[in-house]
Amino acid sequence: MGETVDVATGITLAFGTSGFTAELLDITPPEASREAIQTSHQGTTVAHTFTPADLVDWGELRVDLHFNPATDPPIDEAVEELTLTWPDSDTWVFDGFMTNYAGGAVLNEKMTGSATVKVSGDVAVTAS
Amino acid sequence: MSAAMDAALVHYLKNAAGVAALVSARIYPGRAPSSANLGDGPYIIYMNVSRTRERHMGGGSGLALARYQIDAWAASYTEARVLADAVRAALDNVRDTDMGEAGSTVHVDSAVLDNENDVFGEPTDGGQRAPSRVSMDFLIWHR
Repeated sequence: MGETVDVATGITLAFGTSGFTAELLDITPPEASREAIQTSHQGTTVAHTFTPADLVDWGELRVDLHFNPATDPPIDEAVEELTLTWPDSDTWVFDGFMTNYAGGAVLNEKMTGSATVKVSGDVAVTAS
Repeated sequence: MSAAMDAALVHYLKNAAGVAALVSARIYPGRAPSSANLGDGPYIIYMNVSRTRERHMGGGSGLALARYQIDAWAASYTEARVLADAVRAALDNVRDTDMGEAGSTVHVDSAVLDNENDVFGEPTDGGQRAPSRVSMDFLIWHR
């Protein structure tokens, strides 16, 4: 049986235009969803019927990171290409733009923060 | 890095005026040697209780959080208390400091006193003087 499970280390996120970088902690990758359009009508029997919408929404990517107050986030930059590279070098490439950037400073703890990127368009999934 | 932090901490305490005046070089890891005698003066025992090393997706960050137990031992509680206060004055609230001998320093982002408690010994001479210690836990962020 081939292995499909992996451990989350070594994942990288590259911002193609702004070059934004940070030490990444936890990553919540884009989550794909599409509408289910109901097609039931008076002649439908037994159960509702649906058809998938044509367009998919890949949602947002969120990262938790080591917060560096000296870093200027691309919160006001245009859409750019991002590349998410997974532990075994599989890649997700997509266009997106940052919609949220936040830092935190808990007394005597390391400073951490988060960033959110809205995905625009499709995610190109490429196996290594 | 843990050996380097141990050495840096000892160097720092030995060179802290208030501490050095009381213990000179009597700062020992784990337990006092058999030659150590509280009759000669108070001494310090230190121990690294725990150390976590911060990581990120790219690997180790170089930042670590260590908990050091530093015990101020003396022939009486009063003397132990004086030594503990000197250690606290030297080490509590240290920020952004390079500790250790030149050429082998460790950068300390923060050192704070997290907890302290008194441990009383039993008099051995029929009087009130008894070996005592003040046990302190310091949280030290270092890299």
